[in-house]
Amino acid sequence: MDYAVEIDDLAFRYKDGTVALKNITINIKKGSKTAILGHNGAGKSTLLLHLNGIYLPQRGSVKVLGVEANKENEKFLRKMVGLVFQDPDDQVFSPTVWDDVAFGPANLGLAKEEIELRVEEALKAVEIEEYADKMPFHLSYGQRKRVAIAGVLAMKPEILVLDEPHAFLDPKSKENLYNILEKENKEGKTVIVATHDVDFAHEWADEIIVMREGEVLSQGGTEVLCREEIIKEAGLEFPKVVRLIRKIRGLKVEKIPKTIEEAGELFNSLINNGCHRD
Amino acid sequence: MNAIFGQEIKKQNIFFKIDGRIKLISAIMSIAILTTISKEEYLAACLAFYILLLCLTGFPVLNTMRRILLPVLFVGFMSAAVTFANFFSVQQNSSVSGAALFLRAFYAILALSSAIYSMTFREFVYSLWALHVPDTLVNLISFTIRYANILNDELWRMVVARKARGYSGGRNFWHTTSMRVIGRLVAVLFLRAAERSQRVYHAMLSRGYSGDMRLLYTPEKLGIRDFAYGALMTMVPLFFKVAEMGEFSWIMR
Ligand SMILES: Nc1ncnc2c1ncn2[C@@H]1O[C@H](COP(=O)(O)OP(=O)(O)O)[C@@H](O)[C@H]1O
Ligand SMILES: [Mg+2]
Repeated sequence: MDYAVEIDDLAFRYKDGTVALKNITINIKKGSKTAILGHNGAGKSTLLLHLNGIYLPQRGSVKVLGVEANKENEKFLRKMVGLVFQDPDDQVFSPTVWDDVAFGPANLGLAKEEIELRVEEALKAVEIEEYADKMPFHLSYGQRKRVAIAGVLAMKPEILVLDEPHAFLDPKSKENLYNILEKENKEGKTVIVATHDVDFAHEWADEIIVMREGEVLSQGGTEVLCREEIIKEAGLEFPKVVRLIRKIRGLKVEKIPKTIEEAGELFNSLINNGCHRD
Repeated sequence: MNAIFGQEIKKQNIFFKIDGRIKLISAIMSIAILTTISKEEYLAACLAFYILLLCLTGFPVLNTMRRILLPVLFVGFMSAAVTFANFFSVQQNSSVSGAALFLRAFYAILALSSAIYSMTFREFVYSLWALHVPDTLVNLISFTIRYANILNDELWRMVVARKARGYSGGRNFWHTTSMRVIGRLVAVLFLRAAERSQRVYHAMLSRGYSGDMRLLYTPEKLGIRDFAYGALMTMVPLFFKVAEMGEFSWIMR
């Protein structure tokens, strides 16, 4: 199996003594859609900052595309792993949207024409071409978030990592985000999303990692999100679809539907079957 | 950055169109000349000339004056102190009067702030770089400005948050509760800004930043207007300088 990320017994403690990661051991498959779930303070952001070498392992090891994360491989990590920060205001700093999206590609040392091309593509992908010359500070939160995502897409990383991308997004921006993630994944990129949006994780991801207080509680397919003990312990809640299915007494399904649409189909077929029997 | 640089203003008026490098150089040169002039009349004339120039080229003078009020007041205070010191000093005819000091400093503040205010951030960084200011210094300056903006931003957020919870601001300086609130606000402000700038720095590193900014800025070619402006800006103070040196006395005769 080819892994995009291999983490072995990783631990990390902040300068003030806070133990943010205890003994993390996880593997993330190449080309997968992985959701990292956990309550606030579970250590998601800290973990993500290890993926591109901003933080280096204090204990254990992190491997990205088979390459050990350390000071020497810093450049490689930054190029391979594109990290979108939780708060766009931490990431977007340039005087214009165009400049900000060009910041990453410029740091990669690309030619000017290539930079212009990539910026254009990235702005198109997040549907904000018309704001290229605007000051990011004058855009709405959702739009600034898109600028932040475009800034990372323009670097064309192999692994796309987003830290709580759903926070404060309106429905339309969420849909746009969903489409972007799907598209990037279809093109062969590994996509990793830290979130506490269980509905999104259940619907979108094929790999789930549940964290709690700096530890990995569980890793597996979306069925992880249907297990009561894990959901309870992680301080999360069941996805809406799962909640609905659980409410229907006596219903046993082989595969829990992932979306409202799938659940609808399931119910329709159940009702139809029932009618035929009468 | 919107607090400092003027990219919001549509680049319609002449002053904003003048090349950034020229604006910076001529401001620095004219300031350098001014510091050697000591006659108050001449200094006042230079200052008046510059303000007139700003007005004629459509620069928002009043707006800028409001922005630089604090440093100007500070300088005024210092100059007053110098005047006092001169007054009481045993040695009469001390070399510089308080008024002259004030005029020089006022000119310097106005010249630099108007030059910088009329540039975009990119233009400013590019101008510094083009003037062979060392890279480290350019980076330092651009980071300082970014940090100042972060500070400003955090302050604004905190003020809004406090207002939302019913804090209405101090009645006067001796109102102790409000002073305590402000004291805590300032302390927390610096902590928050420090944490935030660390995140900002991490975000920059994440996008491959490794110590130097690549400038994607191509300036427009220098034109007659730019040179004319530069010449005017330096010639006028130079004229007064020469006048002070008494070189024109043969004309007056
Ligand atoms: N810069 C920091 N300094 C000290 N402690 C921190 C810092 N950043 C995060 N922490 C602490 O580390 C733990 C994990 O935080 P974080 O990784 O941000 O969690 P999450 O992203 O899942 O909300 C929390 O207890 C948090 O308070
Ligand atoms: Mg976080």
